[in-house]
Amino acid sequence: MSEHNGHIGEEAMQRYLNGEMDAAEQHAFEKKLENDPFAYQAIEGLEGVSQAEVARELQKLQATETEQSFSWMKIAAAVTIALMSGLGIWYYSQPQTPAQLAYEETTAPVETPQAKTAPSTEPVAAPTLPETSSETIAEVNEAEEIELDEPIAITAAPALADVQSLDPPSQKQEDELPTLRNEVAVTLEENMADEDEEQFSEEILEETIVETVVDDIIFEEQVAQDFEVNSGAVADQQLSRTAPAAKSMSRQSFNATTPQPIGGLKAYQDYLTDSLRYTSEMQAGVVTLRFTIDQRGTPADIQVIQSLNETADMEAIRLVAEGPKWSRSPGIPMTLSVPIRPK
Amino acid sequence: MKLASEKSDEWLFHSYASTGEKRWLSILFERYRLMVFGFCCKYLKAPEQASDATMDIFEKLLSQSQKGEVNNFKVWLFVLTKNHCLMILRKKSPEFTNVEDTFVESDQIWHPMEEGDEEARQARLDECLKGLPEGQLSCIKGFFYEKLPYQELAKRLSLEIKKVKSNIQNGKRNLKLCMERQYE
Repeated sequence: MSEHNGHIGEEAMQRYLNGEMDAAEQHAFEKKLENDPFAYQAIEGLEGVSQAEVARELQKLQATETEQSFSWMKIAAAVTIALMSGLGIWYYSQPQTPAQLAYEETTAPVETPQAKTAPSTEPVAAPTLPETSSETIAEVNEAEEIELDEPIAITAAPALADVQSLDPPSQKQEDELPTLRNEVAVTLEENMADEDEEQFSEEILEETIVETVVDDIIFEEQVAQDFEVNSGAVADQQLSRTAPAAKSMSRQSFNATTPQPIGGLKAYQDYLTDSLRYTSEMQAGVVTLRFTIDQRGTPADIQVIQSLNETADMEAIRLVAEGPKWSRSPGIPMTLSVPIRPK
Repeated sequence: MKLASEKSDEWLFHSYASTGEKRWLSILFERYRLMVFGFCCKYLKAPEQASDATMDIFEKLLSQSQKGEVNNFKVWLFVLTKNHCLMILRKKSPEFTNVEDTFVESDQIWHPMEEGDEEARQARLDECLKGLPEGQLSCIKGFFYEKLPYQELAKRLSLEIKKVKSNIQNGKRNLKLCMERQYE
């Protein structure tokens, strides 16, 4: 972690604690500490406990944060897997659109106590699993493993599928299912009322679903990769959810076919931030655009995938349309999230 | 991390507050995670408790920070962390009421050698230095003038590092008080 506003970063703290600094650096660090009661006492605290324990706890913390930030993604992954393993038939046979359904199910397991209503689905799903094809079981188990200790409504997917394919055990489930769905819906409402934060998950989910439906295979790959990245890459991962192209962009590891902004990603991001003409009519947030790069390297066919409001959308489009040119990669669709926020 | 890591605390904070997008706060909190954790270690002693507290503090941040503007995120987080630890300590032992004293140890920030440009000020400072107890004086001089790290100071003065640090703290405090007296 680099230093911010002359602030003492984690890396420096670690190096200091490990005795990896020479005298001059040590002194400089300590002098900063003298002026920083927060860091000063933190170092005291860290010196007072065993380093092995510190390392263990930090790892735990990191894991928890990652899990929190990405639980929606894991869930989306589970949904994707479920869809791909043939359960999609059921989805499409329902009056709801797949997006709506996925939305309902994936929104339930937010990290609030209300979500604990979800475990009621567990006993429903468990007995029916042996009845499903072994492939499905494997897939579903995988999905559940990813989910760790949050038994969630996603288990409803196999159960629901079973309703279609199995007779005796499903009878009971059929009765339970509407309840389950209602619960999920209620949970969702409560959560939304409780915390604006949930609205975020909602937005994300919608966005994710677009990707899932459009090209779920790529999305799945993406998720798999995202699991390997540690929480240090939060920003990049979050960026990456928009599209595979945006992901490789954000990691600055371009391959030959990925369109890239002339001048580099960093410059492009700065351009987006600096050139934004924010007005009070704009809703703050993120506008996600999809476009292709034409022969001259100019973004073309710009479509809004995730909208905020009209003025915000227009500004995002303007920024991209008037912005730096791109490497010529005709025909490859780009998805880009443009942050709209007051300066 | 290349993009967001270059943003200021306040930029990230504002981004979270205005959009509700958790990722901004995650990036921001990551900068301070070790600090929060270390601070909690100091007062709660057990690392396990400290990491629970760190997680709780992050949760608190998530729920509280949408409410308004924060001019200095770090100071704000510091206060939040302090209060959280305080709350835990009080829960553990209700008679634990005078925690504030424990906490102010280095709250009063003053760096004599950096601001002592003007001569008059320097003269006053010299005067005050003379009044310091020997132990504090040698530590203050070694640290601020000779730029020695705690460790080497401790070696040279045959003191424990802890003692060196408290000498510097007390020396600074005494100097500050002395300077203030002279200003009156």
